[in-house]
Amino acid sequence: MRILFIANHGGGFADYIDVAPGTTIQDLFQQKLPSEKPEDYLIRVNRQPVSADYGLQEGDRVSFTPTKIEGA
Amino acid sequence: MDARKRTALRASIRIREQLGRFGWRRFDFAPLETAWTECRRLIRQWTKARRRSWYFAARRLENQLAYTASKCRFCLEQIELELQQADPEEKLAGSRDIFQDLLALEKEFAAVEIDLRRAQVSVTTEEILLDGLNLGPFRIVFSWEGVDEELSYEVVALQPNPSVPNPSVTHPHVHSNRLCEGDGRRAVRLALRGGRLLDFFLLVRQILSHYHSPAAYVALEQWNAIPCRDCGELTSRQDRHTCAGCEATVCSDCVATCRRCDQDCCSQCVGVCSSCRKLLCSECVEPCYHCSELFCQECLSHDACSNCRGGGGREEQGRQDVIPAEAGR
Repeated sequence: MRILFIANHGGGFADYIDVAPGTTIQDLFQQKLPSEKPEDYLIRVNRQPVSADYGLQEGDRVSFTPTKIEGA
Repeated sequence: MDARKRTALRASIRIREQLGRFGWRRFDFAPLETAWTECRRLIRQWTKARRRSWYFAARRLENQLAYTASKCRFCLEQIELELQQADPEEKLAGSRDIFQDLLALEKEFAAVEIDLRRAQVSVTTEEILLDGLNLGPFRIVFSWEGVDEELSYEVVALQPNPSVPNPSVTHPHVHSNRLCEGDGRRAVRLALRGGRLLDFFLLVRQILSHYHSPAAYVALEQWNAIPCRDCGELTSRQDRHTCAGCEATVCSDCVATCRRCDQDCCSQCVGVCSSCRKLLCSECVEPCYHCSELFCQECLSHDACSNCRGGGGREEQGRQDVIPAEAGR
């Protein structure tokens, strides 16, 4: 199934990606940011905070935004 | 639909229209045109040099041509890459997405304001606390009519606590209401250009909530620092002295302490006894009545320094001339 995935860290990324049915938001986080901690990110699905075991649905809009971004 | 949602809907339609117009201007062909014009100029010169058998000139032009041709190739590759990427319209948020973003802002921020007349969406952050320093809340103002410009938003301190060394700096990463995004720059630009307003405002808020000391306009340690009147270096609270004479701030390196009364002095208020060379504040030095040189009280006797007292001569004579005149008044 396809979801809109937005990664607001580094160079930024926003595009549709395919994920396996039954994937939770926690699974997706571990796939995309394996060396990062979820508590260091604002995780939103369809613009709302969700629990770690939320099962992704077709067409969901998922965004990961770091809580700490270094300004210059 | 209530008035708040109607306003959000109108704003989302206008923002989408503006972003759509911006999408047409994404490709920048100017670098390619410049490089190609340069190539053609070099080819003309090279042809001329060959025709006239200018061997060394032709070799030099070949080198320049090779460099310019590689520049052309690079520009072409960039354009090809951008053209092959998905149509920007595809990644551009629709007015429905923008509408939902505008509504979602209310759950993330203390206050959200949509001003259709000024073409602005603004949000207010919570108080920003960095290492114990309260910088107050900030308003992030996005202007959609300026979305094709490099800077289309402002970050305004609502209860400014600006740095003492530079009052234009209201946050270590904000100067004259402009945020220096640092690591967040590309993500902020992508969010803005893609019409992802919720992401844009969240990114800016998270940059504001974090302090990156090496890149700050003014470091937090120096936020309330005052420049030393003598050397100009910023002084921290621990390293700061106040001149007893003029109340100027001086640093530990520049401060002079009066050897008589222990008061701190700046370089303009400190005096040196011409006889014993002690550093003294302006209260503890006095001029010799005759020669006007400065002396400490120990080195003066009857308002005269030892030289003038013992020397007599013209100075002593002068004093005798003055005293009766003053006494007669």
